[in-house]
Amino acid sequence: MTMKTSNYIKPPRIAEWMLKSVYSDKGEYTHLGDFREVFNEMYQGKGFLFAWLWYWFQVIRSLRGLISNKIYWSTLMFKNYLVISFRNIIKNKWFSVTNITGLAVGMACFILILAYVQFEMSFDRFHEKAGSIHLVISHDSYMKSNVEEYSAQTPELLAKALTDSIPEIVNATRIMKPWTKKAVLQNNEKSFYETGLYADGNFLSIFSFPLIKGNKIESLASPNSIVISESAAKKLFGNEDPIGKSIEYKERHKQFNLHITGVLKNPPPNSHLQFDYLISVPTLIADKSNSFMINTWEVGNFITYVEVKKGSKAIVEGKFPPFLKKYEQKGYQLYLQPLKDIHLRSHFWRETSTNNEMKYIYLFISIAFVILLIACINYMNLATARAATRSKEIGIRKVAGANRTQLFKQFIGESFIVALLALGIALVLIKLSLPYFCSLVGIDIQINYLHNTALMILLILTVMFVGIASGSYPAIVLSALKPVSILRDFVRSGKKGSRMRNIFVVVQFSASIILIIGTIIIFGQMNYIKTKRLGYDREHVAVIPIRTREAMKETSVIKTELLNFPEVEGVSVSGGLPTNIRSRLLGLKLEKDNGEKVKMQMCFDYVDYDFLDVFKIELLQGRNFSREYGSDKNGVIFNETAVKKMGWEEPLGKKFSFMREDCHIIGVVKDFYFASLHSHIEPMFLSLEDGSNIAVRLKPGNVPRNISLLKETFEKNSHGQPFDFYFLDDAFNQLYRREQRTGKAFEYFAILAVLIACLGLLGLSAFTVEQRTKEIGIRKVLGASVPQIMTLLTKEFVKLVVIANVIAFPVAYFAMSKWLQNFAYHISISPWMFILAAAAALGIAFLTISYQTFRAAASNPVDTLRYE
Amino acid sequence: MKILSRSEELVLLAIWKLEHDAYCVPIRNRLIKITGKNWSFGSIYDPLERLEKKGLLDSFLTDPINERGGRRKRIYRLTPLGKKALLEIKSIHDASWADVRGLKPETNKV
Repeated sequence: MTMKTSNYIKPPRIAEWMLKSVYSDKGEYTHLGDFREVFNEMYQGKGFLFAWLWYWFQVIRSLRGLISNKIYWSTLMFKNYLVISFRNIIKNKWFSVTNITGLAVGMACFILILAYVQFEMSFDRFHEKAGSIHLVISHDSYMKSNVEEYSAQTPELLAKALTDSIPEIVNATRIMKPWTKKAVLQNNEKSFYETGLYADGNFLSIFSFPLIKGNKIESLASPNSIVISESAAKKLFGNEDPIGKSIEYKERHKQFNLHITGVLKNPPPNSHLQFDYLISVPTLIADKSNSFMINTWEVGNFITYVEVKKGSKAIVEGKFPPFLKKYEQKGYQLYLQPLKDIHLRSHFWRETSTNNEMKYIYLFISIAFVILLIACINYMNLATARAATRSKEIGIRKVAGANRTQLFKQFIGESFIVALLALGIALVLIKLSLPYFCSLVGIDIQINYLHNTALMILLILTVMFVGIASGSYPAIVLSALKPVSILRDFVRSGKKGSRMRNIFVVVQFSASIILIIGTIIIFGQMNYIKTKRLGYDREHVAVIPIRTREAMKETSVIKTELLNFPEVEGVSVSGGLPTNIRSRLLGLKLEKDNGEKVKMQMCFDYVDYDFLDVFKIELLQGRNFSREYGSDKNGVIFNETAVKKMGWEEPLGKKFSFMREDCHIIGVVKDFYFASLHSHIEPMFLSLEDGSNIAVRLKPGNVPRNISLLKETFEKNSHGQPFDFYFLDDAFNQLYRREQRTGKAFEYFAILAVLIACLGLLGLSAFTVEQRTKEIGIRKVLGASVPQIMTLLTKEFVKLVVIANVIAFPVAYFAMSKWLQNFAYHISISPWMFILAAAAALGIAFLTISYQTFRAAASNPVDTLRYE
Repeated sequence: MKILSRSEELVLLAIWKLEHDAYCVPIRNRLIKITGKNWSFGSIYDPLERLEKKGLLDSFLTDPINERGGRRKRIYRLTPLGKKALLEIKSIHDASWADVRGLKPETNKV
């Protein structure tokens, strides 16, 4: 006996644990003891290995039976659950339709929004070296302006100097934007507007834009080479092989004859660099007129990307100050912006693309979850509200031996089935609404489930989320019902349950009201922008951009000819337009009244004699440019802000030097908003010089006819430049495109959220009314009128919506005042916005439930009380 | 009452024979010894449980035992009903074997 105890060993722990699940013997697990005994016997007789193998063999043998047993019974029960679920869905058609529609709409919104978010997050990740490519940005320390202090543009010499002196920088490449946004590519008779870039020889070996034809190292190495995109090649050459062919390249100041050395695949839509052609940087350098920006540190017109060794971004940034010192560069600092972050986390002056912002991504994600949650709450509410009708089933199941886990699984399973059905409908909805959604957010999203693993996972997760979020609460409530009380006295859904339901309704309506208030405020701000007196008149102005040198020479001819038409009120040829004056001088030397010399950052633009008249900009002091004064070439017009900043008492006649010329102020204009309302008005001046935009003020009237007049006149004189125009109003709206899109998206999603919430309210009110039919009958018999009963039934719901308002107001106020701070000029939040939202929510809720309440109130008490 | 199955009969007999120490391990050992075949635990638990349900057996638990990993033994006893069933099956056996003659193993089989 002593021997035995000292040699006593334990069987493998995992095996024993597995064996435990096979059999319980009323919780005593005596079989484990039996197995242990035999195990020890074997160990003593035949050794450890034999015993060990025996034990494991026993486990494995028993497992097979266990598993098949489990599967058999669970499939049997599953079949039963499935049948019951479908019976329930069909039996309560109204309830099911409400639920499934709400969930389907919610899921469709959710999936669409997240597909959009996925697209936005995927920017520039397709490059093989995406993790190590960085954009070099500069920050001017003397630029005191509070907008766009960081610039994406850097000097020509920077790239080489960086690779030479910082060993962590493996490679550097430069691009430059052409002077005109669109240039003409011409193959004999065929000519098209395309956008493109100048790019260094190593551009294609750093970025992964795949070449279809040509060599990625050589194609951009020599002067006069151009690589075009697949689509441009198709347009210009059809099915011919474009390699080795030459094409004409025309922009406003330049004209080249270029050889095609490669064809690129079109850049994917999720690339921040978008182009139809790449011209080699050597072409740019060979052009003498560019010498001012080549081989210098003074002019920064290039965009420099560097490839750094993995994880050495901080090290490289640490080496920038000594680097700048070595090259004697003062007044600015350099930083690195990771390529992957450019699309969502950068906002630089002179960026290559209009980027999105992370906060809008977060906003969209939150809306997606809110809508889905509202839909899930519908399900929870309706499922628990109907507990009473299912309590008998639950009671019978419990009596027949179902435990709480099983019931829980059943109800969760049911919500999964509903979620799956909703998903099916949601997929159809997505298919139908995708084109509208794409135009809403302004990008072309492809939804291809099979090729997009992330989206597949998203679908699965959505169903899981909906299944669990909407099913778990009803499952807990329903599975906890006591069989005895259910079967004995047929409980109605309890007081506690209804309190929870009320909380859910409040949550739903709070979320909806927040969205409504958001919509109202965004709409108000957009309207404010549209109707704000900007200091100039942007209506009825068509703008024709000039893009070729030949056409440039003819501007005065075109202008005179246009002025002959009675439909044309005025014509101005200018560099910038009142919507967008972006040229900036970093340090204009000016002298204050007290003799103090200051450097001021100023915006400026080139205009002609008619600029102020055509755009109806008001002159405060002095005079406009005039042909009568021979010296007006040196006259400039300042804006109010600039004069105020300088503190001049008498601005007229003040002298300063600009572009190596002596200038003097001849007039002061009233401030007009020449950038977007996001930023404050900056100091600005206008100077008399040739420009490249023909702005035509038309008389209101037949727009297509007027445009065809413009087209005729322009093409007669443009030497082959195709006609192209836009309305200033549209250009203005472009400035607020992101806000408008967000606003529109917000509007639609707010409507959907409210609709889904109402769907839930509809179901809930139908249920409440049904439960109280007898009460209503008795009340009517005792003399209650229809309005009295309607008030009685409506009161409860209205109370909930009022509480929801109280919760929603502060949240909405906080969130929306943050949003408004994005604008330097914005509306103030006023109480009527909240009142409007509250009224809307109440009205909608009231309308939703009134059908049910009216039906109940108008019913004949005889019908409801006949069987008592 | 139904007639006992062969395995039930063997289990009941083993329990009767083992008297006070009739739990699963010795029952199984005994059956292996008598029949010369391997009996799995499952093939013992099943009839035991069935017989207890039918009321032919009852059982009690011992104190936890260290060598068994702190598990109790479930010790089985025949109930009067069990004894009756055994006796009944014996009489069936006797009766059915009473006049069987010439039943012996074939010797000329290869």
